[in-house]
Amino acid sequence: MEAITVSHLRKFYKVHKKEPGLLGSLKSLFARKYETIEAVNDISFKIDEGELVGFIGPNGAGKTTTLKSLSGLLYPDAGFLSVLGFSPWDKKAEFLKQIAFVMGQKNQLWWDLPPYETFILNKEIYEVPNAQFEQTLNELIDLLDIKEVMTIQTRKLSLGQRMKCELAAALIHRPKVLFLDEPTIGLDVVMQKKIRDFIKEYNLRYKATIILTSHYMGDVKELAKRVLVIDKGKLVFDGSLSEIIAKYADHKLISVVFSEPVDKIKLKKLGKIKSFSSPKVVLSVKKGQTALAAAEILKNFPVEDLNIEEPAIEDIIRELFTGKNYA
Amino acid sequence: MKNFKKFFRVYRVWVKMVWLYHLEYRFNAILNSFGSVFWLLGTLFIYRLIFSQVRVLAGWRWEDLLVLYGIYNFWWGMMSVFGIGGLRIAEHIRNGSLDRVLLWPGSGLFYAAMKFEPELLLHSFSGLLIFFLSFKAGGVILTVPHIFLFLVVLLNAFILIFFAAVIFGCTAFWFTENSEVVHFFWVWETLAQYPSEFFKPLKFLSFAVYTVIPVVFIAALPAEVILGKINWNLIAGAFLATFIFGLLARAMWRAGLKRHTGVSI
Amino acid sequence: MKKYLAILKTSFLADLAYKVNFFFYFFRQTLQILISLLLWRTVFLEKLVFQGYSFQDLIYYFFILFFVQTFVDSDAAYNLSGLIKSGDLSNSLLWPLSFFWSFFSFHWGKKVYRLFYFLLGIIILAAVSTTGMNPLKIIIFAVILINAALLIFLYQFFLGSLSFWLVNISSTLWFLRQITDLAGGGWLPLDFFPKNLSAFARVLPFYLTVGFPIEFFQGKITAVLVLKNIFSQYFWIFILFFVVAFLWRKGVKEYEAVGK
Repeated sequence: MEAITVSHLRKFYKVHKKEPGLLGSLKSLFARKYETIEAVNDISFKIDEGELVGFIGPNGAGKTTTLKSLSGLLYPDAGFLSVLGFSPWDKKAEFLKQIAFVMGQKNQLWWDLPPYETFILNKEIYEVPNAQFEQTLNELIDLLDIKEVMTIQTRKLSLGQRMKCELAAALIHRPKVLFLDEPTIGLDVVMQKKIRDFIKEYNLRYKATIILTSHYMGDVKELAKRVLVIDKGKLVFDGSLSEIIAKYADHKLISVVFSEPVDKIKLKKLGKIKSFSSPKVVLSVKKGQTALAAAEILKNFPVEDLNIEEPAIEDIIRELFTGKNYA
Repeated sequence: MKNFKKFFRVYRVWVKMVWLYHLEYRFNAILNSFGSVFWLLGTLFIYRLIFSQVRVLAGWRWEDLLVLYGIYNFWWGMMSVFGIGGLRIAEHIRNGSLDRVLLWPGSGLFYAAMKFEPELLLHSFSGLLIFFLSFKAGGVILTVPHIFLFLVVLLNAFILIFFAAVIFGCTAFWFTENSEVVHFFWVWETLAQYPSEFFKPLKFLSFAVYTVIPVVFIAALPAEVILGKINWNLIAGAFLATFIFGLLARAMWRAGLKRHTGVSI
Repeated sequence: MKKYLAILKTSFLADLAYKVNFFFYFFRQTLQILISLLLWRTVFLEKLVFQGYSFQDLIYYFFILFFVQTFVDSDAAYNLSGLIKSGDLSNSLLWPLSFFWSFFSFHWGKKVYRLFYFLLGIIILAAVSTTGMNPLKIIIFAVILINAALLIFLYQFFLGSLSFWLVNISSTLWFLRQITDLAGGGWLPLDFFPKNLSAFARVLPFYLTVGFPIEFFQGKITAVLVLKNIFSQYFWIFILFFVVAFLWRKGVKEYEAVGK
């Protein structure tokens, strides 16, 4: 069952350009020059109910613009959008009550009051019946472990505790569709894992459809079976992470631990040296030649241990964004 | 009707939250409360100075001016506590909370303009006090029809300026740095404490106070009503103004939203 | 020194960008004076001479007031309290510059455009002056004004630093401004007050910021009093400087960078 449909979405902005310096400022007082920026340039995809999808892309790629369009905050310049059967732009009450948009850096919790007060506010805004509110709240308390902190003033909470409560506040009305924009930004490793676990659990338990954007590959690896890569306003890849590796990684990594110091120059003949900190060396070797290179190393060098690995997803994605061919 | 009920429920929770916040910062709240009352007394002091040398000012006696002054301050206090939320639209845009508000089911405008500022309740009460005290000096007509008309005209003043605040607040959609525009609104509002006769010498200003933001309808009109000087044309004008401002406010909000959400017109 | 000049220039440029704000600011200033004049005209229609002033005298007073305020006025308190509240102060504290002096430069950079306006006013005022202008008078006037501006800046800095302890002081600031305005001669000439009140007001430091420069320009003060008041200005600048330094150091210590 399709929950989200995006068809040929386009969104552009007009930005005015100002020349630097005093003359430029004075000029801009009278005549402005505008430039059009294509934030989203013909993107199409479909997401089924209950899917957990990751959006990745460099800054300014169009991820947030797409999410905002899907939640009704931005008006699409072209294309067709449908979320849970609604047209987001109409912002019907029924539609808004079923979605949630968590923007990583922006808080909705009142700074000087306990998070619980904001929960109550959201309950009234979303017209959540008392019984359902109690139940949802208890479940969220359980999943997020916020029983004690929700009655403490927000400003006294740590960033992690605050983030958990922000999530709870956003989910008080049990939305069916979640847009999570950088939910783990700024959190420590332990907290990141906790939030990830929560998102995974929420997805399973409530069959909620979730789109998640993140710069942390950890988030994507752990949560998203399916990944949409967006760059410069275009959708360049739609599939699973393993597919990305298969498609774009044209090399593999051989990591070797030597039992004696070796000659760097000889190694260079076999592949590119990614890291060299004796006795461990990591070589990057083209896919077809990996077996051969490994054999060579084993034959000609004093090897204690040898491993062949896929390159890190982070590296693949990074190379993808820095100008490699998407074809 | 259902929407109204819902909005009041949300507003009630909102008010409670604001109270809690101010309880936290009691000292500040009290300081601000007394500060505004000082201002009220300061202006009264100047009037007293003037009337120690003069008997009538543009046809208004001290006692009549007191009535006007009391109404104005009561009104001003009330508006500052509940009604001028429209000006906050600029804040919302600046700190990104407008998007959050737009995601709430219901009317975005009401949520964006939701406001409760208890600090000025004391000011409002002082104004009310002055108003009641002015009864002693006589001149105030307290028959039922007068009181009724007075209340209606006063209510109209609240609604009128609510819309005006929305219009001014919406300028933030086009000029994000609109602090001076808002400042201008406040200054213009202070004109409401003077009888319209004060502006007669300056034709252009005299006209402007009926049109740019018709501040004469705020305190001067209700004062005239309760003092017995009923001008039906003016009253009709007041209601017309509210209607027009209402349309304008709605149009500005819509246009502003279109711009904010990137609708290329 | 160059760094501070750079800040001045950037601050000046930044303000120019907010052109609508710019226009409304002057519009509002003019409006306020206009309203005052209008009201007083009503009073003068009833009584030709009020507390020794004719309507023309009053207009002249407001005229001078307008230009004096344009020069000495400051919103440093708002800026400072804004920086403290939002936690942005942390950024500024990290600069390899003295915060006080960079804030000072930033603040005066914004004033540069007011300076043009002000100089124009001085020329006009000199032309219509009833008591005549001479180079000595202009120099002394400039000195008094600069002192007044410094006084206000320091006072505002003091008020702004209170944000370290009191949250949300913007309304307090506004009302305090009303009080100091009233006492300093910013609403009406101090001569309009009953004798004992005006005498009291002239003892307060607020008088030194607005009332004193105006009355000097009007030629209403004896030379001895002028000197005495200038001395008072320096005295208060001196005191405020130390109070501010002390408060600031204490405040920064207590300051937690609130990450919002």
